[in-house]
Amino acid sequence: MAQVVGSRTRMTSRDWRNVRRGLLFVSPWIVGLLAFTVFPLVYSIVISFTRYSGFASPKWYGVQNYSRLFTDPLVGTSTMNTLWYTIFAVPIGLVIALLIALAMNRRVREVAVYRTILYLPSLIPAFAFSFIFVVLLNPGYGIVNKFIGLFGLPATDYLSDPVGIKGVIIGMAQFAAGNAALIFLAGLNTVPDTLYDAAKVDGANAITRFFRITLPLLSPVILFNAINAVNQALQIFTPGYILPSAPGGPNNGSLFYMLNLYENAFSYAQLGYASALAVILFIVGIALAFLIFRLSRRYVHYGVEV
Amino acid sequence: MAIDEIVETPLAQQGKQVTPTKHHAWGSRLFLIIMCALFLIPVYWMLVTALKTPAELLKPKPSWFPTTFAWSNFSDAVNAFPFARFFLNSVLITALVALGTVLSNVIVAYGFACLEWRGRDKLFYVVIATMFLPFAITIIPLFDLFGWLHWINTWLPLVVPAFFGSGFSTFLLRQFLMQIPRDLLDSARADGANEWRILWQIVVPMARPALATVAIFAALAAWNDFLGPLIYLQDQKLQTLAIGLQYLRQTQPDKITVNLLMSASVMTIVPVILLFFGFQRFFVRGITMGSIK
Amino acid sequence: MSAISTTRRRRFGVLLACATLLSGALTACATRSNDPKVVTYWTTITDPITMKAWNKIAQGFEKQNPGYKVQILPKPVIGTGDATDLITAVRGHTGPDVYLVDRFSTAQYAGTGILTDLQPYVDKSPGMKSKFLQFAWNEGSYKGDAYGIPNDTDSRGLFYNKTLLKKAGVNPDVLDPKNGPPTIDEVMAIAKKATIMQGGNYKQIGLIPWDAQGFWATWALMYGATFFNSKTCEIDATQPPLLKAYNAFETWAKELNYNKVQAFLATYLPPGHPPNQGTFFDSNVAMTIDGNFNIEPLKQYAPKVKYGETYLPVPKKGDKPFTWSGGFAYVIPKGAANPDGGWKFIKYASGPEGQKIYDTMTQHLPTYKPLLSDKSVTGSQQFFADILKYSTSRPPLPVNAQLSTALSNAETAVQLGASPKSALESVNKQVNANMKQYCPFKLPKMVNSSQ
Repeated sequence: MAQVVGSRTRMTSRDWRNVRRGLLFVSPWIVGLLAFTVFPLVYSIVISFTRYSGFASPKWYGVQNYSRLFTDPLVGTSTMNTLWYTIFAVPIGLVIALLIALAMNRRVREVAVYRTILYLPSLIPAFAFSFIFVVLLNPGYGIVNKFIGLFGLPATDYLSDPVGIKGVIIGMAQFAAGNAALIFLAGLNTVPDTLYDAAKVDGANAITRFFRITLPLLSPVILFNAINAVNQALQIFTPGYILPSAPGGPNNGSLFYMLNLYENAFSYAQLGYASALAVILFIVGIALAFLIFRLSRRYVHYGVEV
Repeated sequence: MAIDEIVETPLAQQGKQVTPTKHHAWGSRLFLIIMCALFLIPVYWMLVTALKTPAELLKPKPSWFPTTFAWSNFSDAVNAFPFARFFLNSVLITALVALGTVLSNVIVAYGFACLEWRGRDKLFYVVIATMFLPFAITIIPLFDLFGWLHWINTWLPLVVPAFFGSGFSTFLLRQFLMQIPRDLLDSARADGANEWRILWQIVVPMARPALATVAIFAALAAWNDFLGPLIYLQDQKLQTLAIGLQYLRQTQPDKITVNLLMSASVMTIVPVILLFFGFQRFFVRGITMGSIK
Repeated sequence: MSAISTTRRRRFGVLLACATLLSGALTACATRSNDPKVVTYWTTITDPITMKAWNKIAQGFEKQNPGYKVQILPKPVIGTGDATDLITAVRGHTGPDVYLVDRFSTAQYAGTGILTDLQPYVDKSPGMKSKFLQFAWNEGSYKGDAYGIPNDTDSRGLFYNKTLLKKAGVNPDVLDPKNGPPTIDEVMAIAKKATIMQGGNYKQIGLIPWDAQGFWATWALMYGATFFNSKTCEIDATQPPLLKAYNAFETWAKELNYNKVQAFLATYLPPGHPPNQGTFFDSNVAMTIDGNFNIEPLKQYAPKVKYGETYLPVPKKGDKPFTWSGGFAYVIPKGAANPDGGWKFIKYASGPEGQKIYDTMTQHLPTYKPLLSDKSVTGSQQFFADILKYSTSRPPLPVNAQLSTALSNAETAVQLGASPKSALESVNKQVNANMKQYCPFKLPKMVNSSQ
């Protein structure tokens, strides 16, 4: 099988050659990493301590951009919007995907049909889906108000209410559940039937079996999805740009953190301030991923240990 | 450390036999049917609205079903704004991104999977770490970088980075390449083939399904990209469907009425759906390979 | 094996060649020209009526300056004073030679350093400044220098649908301008009579006082808002005039039920509606607060609507008539490929020929003073030209686009139930961190809009 890599202490010329060859092959990635990840990271941190409009050279501004973060009401609003979205959309999404996966795992004969239909909305680009929702929710030509009207309730424009629009965006995100469901389904497929059979013999009911066998064995997959979903939720942008009549509206109800960052950078030309926003988001994103990882360590099982 | 598991665990222990259940699972079936119905509502309403006439849309009570099928909406949408150009732009950008992703990542993944060298696995942790980095931090510096290069208002900022590898694709391909028997590579080496040749003549043909998967996912991401074209493209002639549609919707409401917007959306989605049905197995593989067992 | 490998290699080579070729094509699509006779003009007003006017102005300019060519590109904006397109273009070295800005935001963009100081050009054109309405000229200046050359101006009034008022049992003559400005209470009482409900939803509304031009600027300026405290160099959104205006928003939103009005607007004026659709055009509202720029669309899209124009409603009987004016200005962005050609175009477009074309075709008022007495220009907008003498304008602050967005959001917040005081305090907090960067800052002396 694998060749034994040379001694740990001394690099032979052959080792050097191997390293050079390996680096050569991964060099596109290294160049990309330096240009599109490391450079931006360093540049953002530097710029975040300056006043910079993009039209004149940056001026040192100390930590003023950071202190401004804490007094700017829009930072508070956009952070809250993003947190609301993350707190609701991510767990609900995981639960729905898990339920779908469990149902599909029962292997009803026409499962391929369900799988295709449920995956279909995940294929629709966020911008096109936002267009569809603008139409779906319109009190004039939408289906949602028509349905609500059947119960005699007055027509409402959910997109003109700052809470309503967040609800809409959280709801809209759930249509992508098919993607995670497929991942979970694949995970469920790896759970050996013998485990269930053994549990049945021991007299465990379905709920116990789910919590004692299925969930623990699926936990690494759920963890991976949770980290990804949180990462994406923190950077949500497109629905807040397209759904309201003006980006971020109404009354900043869909002004997500990324949208606020985008507007500061590209509409108000305050690149120093926007960079400070980006640095904070970066730190929070990494910290959250790490936190999920740490928290889950107690619960996540790798491999069969039952 | 748990990351070790992520790196070292090979591709999912696949191939578990699907055993049809004996009981009928009516509860699950009912749940799935309800979910399917819910999931189809937006798609249905998009199709219905795309086929309605403006007069029908103005009626105070929307109808469940178009009374007259205005198929001309599709041709109207194509003519009302440069749909063909946006479409072609999107296709070209998507194709270039897919090409770049496959080319660069197969080379990089080969370096991580098929070559033995010191520091390789440590470097691979960095690949995994980049998968979890919030990309938001890059938008301001990259705009400046591309500005210095005079690349703004060209497709280069959207296309070129794809030629430099990406965490997700490298990871996916490496997982696949790890499964290629070492003996095969070693015997080729013994025959005097150099690594470059082994990559293109042995590994790439074997890895075709994985390459297709990577290409499809890169293509999907490029097709759906909104922020990139929004920031980098200003000229309408260069615009992609995502921004072109949004821009015209907000600025030329006289041309883009709701029914035309929906028919344009249908035409935006159809290529993706076709791709899906054509390559369903690659999709499923990509999705499940992306998950870490 | 080797045969296969060569074809494969060749295939790979072809692919690479294609990629390089395509990449070449990608970069080749330049949008600007370095030809000194080509002027690129980006307009932020892009409706069909105005686009016709731009084309005619370009033709006039090309005729007067043989060999010159104007490239007009529509660059519509989202929201007041937004210049995202311009900012990204200038940073990316792809900006135009001439750009049209909402004039009250000129100072903001001059402040960020994106605009060329036009004062050297103005100095070479003696007598130019004196031909323009002084308020408009001031609006386009920053720290004493001209950055934006004024194009049009406007004024606001109350449009009323005579047919709908009659149907509601109101004699439309009570609103005739010869009776002087009506009071807010009078107008709201009439509006109540002209409102029709159906099944819990609005079918027709008398007047939505915050809709169209009834946004914060109109009511705040009416109560005398200055928006700025020159002593502390701070935005003062909590000053009494603004509080009065936002208290009014609070009251109206409760009286009319804001959510139902929004549902009504989304129904009759849905997102993506064509320009010929409008609540006033379609006789869904009996009155609307709008400007002279509403006259031409009314003529084209709703010729059957019988309407009258009067002064904006005022707080108390006997108050002087009130209106306010805005308008647009031409600027030259930094890094323009052809600034001299751009200036030539600006001089024509903002001069008597250009403004005459623009103002007659789109029904705006000129800022070029001699045209104000030209009946062929003011024509059907005579009422609005006459009330310019009562007009005021927004102060040209370097944070106007941001202030404008913040005040609009505060308006929505109040309508949704926030207290006016807290909403306006939030405006101060949002904008002052930015304002601080421009201090000390001196506003040009405010003058009446007819000067």
